[in-house]
Amino acid sequence: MSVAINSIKDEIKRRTEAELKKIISNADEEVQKVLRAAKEKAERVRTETVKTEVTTMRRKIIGSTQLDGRRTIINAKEEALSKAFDKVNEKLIDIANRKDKKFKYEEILFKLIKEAVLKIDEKKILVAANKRDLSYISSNLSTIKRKLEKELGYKLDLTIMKEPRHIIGGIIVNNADKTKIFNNTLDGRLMGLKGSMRGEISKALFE
Amino acid sequence: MSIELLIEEERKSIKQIEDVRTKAEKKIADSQKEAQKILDQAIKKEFIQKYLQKEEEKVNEEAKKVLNKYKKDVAKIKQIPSNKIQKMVDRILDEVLKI
Repeated sequence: MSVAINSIKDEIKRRTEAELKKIISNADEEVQKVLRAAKEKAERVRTETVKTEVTTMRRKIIGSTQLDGRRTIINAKEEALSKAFDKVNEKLIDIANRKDKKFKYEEILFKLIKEAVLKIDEKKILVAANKRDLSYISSNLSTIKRKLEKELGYKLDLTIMKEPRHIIGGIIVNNADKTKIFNNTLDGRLMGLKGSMRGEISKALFE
Repeated sequence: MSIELLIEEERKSIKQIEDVRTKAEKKIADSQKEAQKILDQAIKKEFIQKYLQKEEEKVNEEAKKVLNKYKKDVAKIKQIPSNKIQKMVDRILDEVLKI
């Protein structure tokens, strides 16, 4: 075989190899392209198909979690508020039982009676209280009445109601025909503040 | 004789190229079939279920994070210093006894 023939033969081989490589490479590229496009389209189709379901599921799960979370926050706040009000309740019991020497319960009780009488705005008054306070008021009725009349500037007819009330302290006042009532008990005042001071206390404790 | 050799070489080359081209076309055709399979699976019920399951797992993970945030807030509320509570107790007491 001549050198020229060999050279042509090598050239044919080289050209063939190059062509084969090109065909294989193009085919691989095309395969990758087709599969990639299919996967992307599949993802789009899938996302579109389940979009509503996923949104609903997400809203349901996250929504319910947020609701539970908010509920636990509210409960924790309620617990803290109750703790504060329970402590006040305990303090009021000590004050009414004259265990807390910083307070003079007799003076507090007189002020409560005076305020209630003023609110009722009548001369014939019925006073109700717990057993301990009824006993104190009964024993000191004339002194209390005199002091009230002096401070209010008019005569009063005070009647003590025999039936004791189950309260921490303070009084409940009625007019003679019981058409007017004023609850000036420590319990009632505290109860009223639970509503009116809620915002202020929450702000002070939780912000 | 030499020319015949070259013709034979060329013939072999054409045959080789044709074979590889046929294989390549088959490979592409197979990939198109595979692509169709991928698309078909995308809308198959069990595949959707699987996908939804995965999404649910993701959402549950997110929900855990949301819950942890609330738990931290609750812990913070439970750790209110006693002096802060005492201050409020005194403030309420003042108000009860403000006659």
